[in-house]
Amino acid sequence: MKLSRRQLLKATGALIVAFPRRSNARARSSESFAPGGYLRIDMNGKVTIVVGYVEMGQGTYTSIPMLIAEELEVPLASVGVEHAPADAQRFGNPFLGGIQVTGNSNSIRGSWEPMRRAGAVARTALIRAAARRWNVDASTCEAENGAVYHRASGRRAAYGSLVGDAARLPLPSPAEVTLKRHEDFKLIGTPAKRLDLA
Amino acid sequence: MKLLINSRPVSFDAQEDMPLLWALRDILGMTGTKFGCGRGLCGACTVHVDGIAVRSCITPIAAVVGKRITTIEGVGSTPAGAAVQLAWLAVEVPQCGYCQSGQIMSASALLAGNPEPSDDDIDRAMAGNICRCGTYARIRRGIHRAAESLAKVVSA
Repeated sequence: MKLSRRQLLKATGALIVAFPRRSNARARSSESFAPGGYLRIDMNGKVTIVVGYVEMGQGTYTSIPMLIAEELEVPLASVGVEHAPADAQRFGNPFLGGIQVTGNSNSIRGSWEPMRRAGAVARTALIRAAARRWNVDASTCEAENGAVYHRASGRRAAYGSLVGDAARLPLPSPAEVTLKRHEDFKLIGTPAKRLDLA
Repeated sequence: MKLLINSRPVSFDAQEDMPLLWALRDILGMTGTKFGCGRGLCGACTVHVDGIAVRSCITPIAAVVGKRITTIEGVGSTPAGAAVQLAWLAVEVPQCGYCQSGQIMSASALLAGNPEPSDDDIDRAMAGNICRCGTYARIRRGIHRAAESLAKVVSA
């Protein structure tokens, strides 16, 4: 099956962010790595992150959601984890020849940019949906703590309330979204409670 | 065979020399108790028999007829077991988790008999439980924390 570079996006009560990686996983451009991730936000704002790496105690069920939650601007405690299906197109590790495999200390290396882009794509889509609803420029809106804000008018929309609108808009491409600057990280680089110990 | 497991009588057909671990996992579907070495060397299969930590992989079921068997599925209903489980979460003791059922069983048997164990007591009681991830330092912290919470319950 030939997968298009465009979004797979369904208005089924949830915003689903999933995009296939190019089959040539060795390509080095950010576009060909990106984003390879997958997440789901439901209308209650619940975020489910599908992790393509096996948790064997090394922490992938926490560290990889951290990459997405950071860019998506949601607290880690509000995130749920699901294990990915077998799908090397989306979950293959670009540093291991595109094979869906966990090992060799390559999970974070392989996830670092694609997972952050996956989070940033979702964040950008939600901001655009809010901006459209409020009839303001998206650049005047920002995302924080699971909601979009338009500070100038004091408006706020929780992610869950934007899911339907966001799902009907064209999804930004992974290459076009802006990743956060390292100095703006709130989650990455901090100690976190393991999501698989609760 | 008739056994009393986690305060529940169970009966099933098996040869009496079958290891308790096999009966638990393969016949009764209680897979919280892990198979590690099969020779009583690693502690992953630890259960309680009349409150004592034993290795279920080398314990024939005939030896535990008429005794109280507690597994990881039931240990949370004992005061020490509940305290250990909560401490394990608070300290985030497990890494990969495979040995942890056995660790929790040995730790809760220790605390049931010695509510204020020293580091040496802990090391002695836990020496038969091997952890390939090397979570020993957190196991010790978890046991001390569970002991503190048990002391609060007792003094309250």
